[in-house]
Amino acid sequence: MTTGLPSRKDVIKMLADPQFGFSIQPMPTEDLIQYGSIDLRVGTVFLSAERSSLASVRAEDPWQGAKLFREVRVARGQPFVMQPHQFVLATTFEYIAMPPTLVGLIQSRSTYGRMGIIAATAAYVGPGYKGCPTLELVNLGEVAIELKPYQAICQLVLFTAAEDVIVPSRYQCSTRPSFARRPLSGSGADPN
Amino acid sequence: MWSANQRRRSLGERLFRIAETVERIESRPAELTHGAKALLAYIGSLLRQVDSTVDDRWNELAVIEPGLREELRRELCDDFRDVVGVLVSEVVPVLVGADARRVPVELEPALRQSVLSAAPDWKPVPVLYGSDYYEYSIVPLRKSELEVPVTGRPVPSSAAEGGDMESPPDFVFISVPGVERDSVALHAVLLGHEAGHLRDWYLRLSEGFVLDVPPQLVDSDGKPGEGYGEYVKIATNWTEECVADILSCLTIGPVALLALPEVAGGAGELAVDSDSHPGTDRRIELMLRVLHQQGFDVVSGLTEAFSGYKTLCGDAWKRIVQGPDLNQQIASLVLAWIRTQLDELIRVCTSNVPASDLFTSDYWPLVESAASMLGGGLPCGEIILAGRSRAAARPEVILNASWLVKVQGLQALGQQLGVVLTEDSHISDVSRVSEVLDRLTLKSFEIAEFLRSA
Repeated sequence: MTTGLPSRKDVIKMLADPQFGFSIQPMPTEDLIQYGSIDLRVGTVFLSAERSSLASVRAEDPWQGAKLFREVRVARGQPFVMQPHQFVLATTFEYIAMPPTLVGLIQSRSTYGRMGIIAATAAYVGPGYKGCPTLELVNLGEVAIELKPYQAICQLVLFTAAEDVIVPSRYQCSTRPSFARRPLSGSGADPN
Repeated sequence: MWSANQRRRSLGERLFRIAETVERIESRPAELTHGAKALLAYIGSLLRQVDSTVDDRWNELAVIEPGLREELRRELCDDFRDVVGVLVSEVVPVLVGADARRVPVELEPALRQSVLSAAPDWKPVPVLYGSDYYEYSIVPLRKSELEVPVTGRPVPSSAAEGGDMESPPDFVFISVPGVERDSVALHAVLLGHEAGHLRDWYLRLSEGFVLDVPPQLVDSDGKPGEGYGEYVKIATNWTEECVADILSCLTIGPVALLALPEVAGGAGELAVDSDSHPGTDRRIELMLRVLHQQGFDVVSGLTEAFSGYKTLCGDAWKRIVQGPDLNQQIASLVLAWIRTQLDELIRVCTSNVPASDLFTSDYWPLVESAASMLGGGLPCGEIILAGRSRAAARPEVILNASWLVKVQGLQALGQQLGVVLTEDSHISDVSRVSEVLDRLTLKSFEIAEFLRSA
């Protein structure tokens, strides 16, 4: 159950209180915090699709797709060039730990959206989640765009929530982008 | 006989292959390590210089009478063959392995700092690369070793002749096993032991220990007898390794010891000596002495591990020499000498490490705090100090925290992942939790470096 959008002052207060259980590493500077949201930077590792002997990915067997992706690590100051219509997986640079009383949604920052870079889909960050959320990035524009590690390309929009039972995500504590992972057990929500 | 033309053709082929490899590496600058970029720039200019010098000299010799011309052109090609040989065997494999997919680039800034602290006036560029072999090593390279030869000058020596330090190295090649890219806790050995070798070369610590050559290796005229050379070789190697181990404990703390048995081989191989290293059990015992001096044997979380190692290795220097590829008689003479030198080695090393480079037990509360974060599923690159202020964690704090989590068990971290670890857990569950710990450790390095450079 979500109950509202915290104010900027509330976000700063929640981050400063170690007992609250909400942490972001590195701690965002105040200029990155807005009303109900925090700007996040892109990390250094990208998973980029490449041609391979695997003909296609069946939707009911999504982890097969990992074979189609190659990991690219980009050094600080160096660009990762996103070609028009290219799809890549990345993560936020920030490592996020959500308390049981917050949920988040990751969305593109408008400046990058206007260039055609969209941080899309499955951007739900559930209560109790820990890790660097995966970003599914698409360049919808007609020109190639250079992304550099640590650019603040997206934001985490926060909603207060009440959740008693925390079930670890199968992507819990991840620090790099990963393709679909087999569920640990059973099924359920598919948070980041 | 292999003619000058054939030699030139062979040289040209090799130069082409090297240039092709260099071009391929240059085409993906984003993925090169920091050190590799500096090395690449140097090798690129060297190749251009080799190309033009070979052509110029070849053409200059055109006016000489045919017999002498053939001979001088052969010499010319042979001189360059040696430079190309060093490039092919020692430099190109480093460049190929210095790829962010093969080495933990997150560790590079800390490594640069370790190298700078170890040899402040030399300032060599460390080039971290993933080796095809399971090895950790440090090899210095001076640009003079790859000097473009002019006929009549001596040919360059091999870059592998590591310890011979007439002039400061321009680069140090530091290898990690490429197959273990993310095992950052094991790579701790780079910051401690390998940087320790560099500090030793810089300060000439092990060189200062005069070998006490036993009388049985000297003939009646007082000249070196049979076995003398081997004695000097083993004694020199063992002294250098002991010094690097001591310096490692002094600069990075308990992690130097905790990582050693896993890096040096399985537990069954602890009591095996070789030409190059004393047995791992002896090294552990020596490190326990240094860590005791630093106050680490009583810090919380490690007492059980340390007493276990003490029980296992406490008498290691008393045991006889054993090892399949070792001259037992000569190595026994080395052992008899070096075990009388251990306390002095510790004293000399300790007095030569500046206080700012020492990692003492005073840092342990920070290590415990960082370990608590890792065990709770958080990176520890930004740690909370007294008064709730935050700071970038030192590399040594991160590494020791990671090992403290390993030593104390992975159960807490497992819970974060929904994995219940027991004695009977599947090895795949243990692997999964260990992998997460390694990645959190690497993330901690990345965050700490980001904060330091911000």
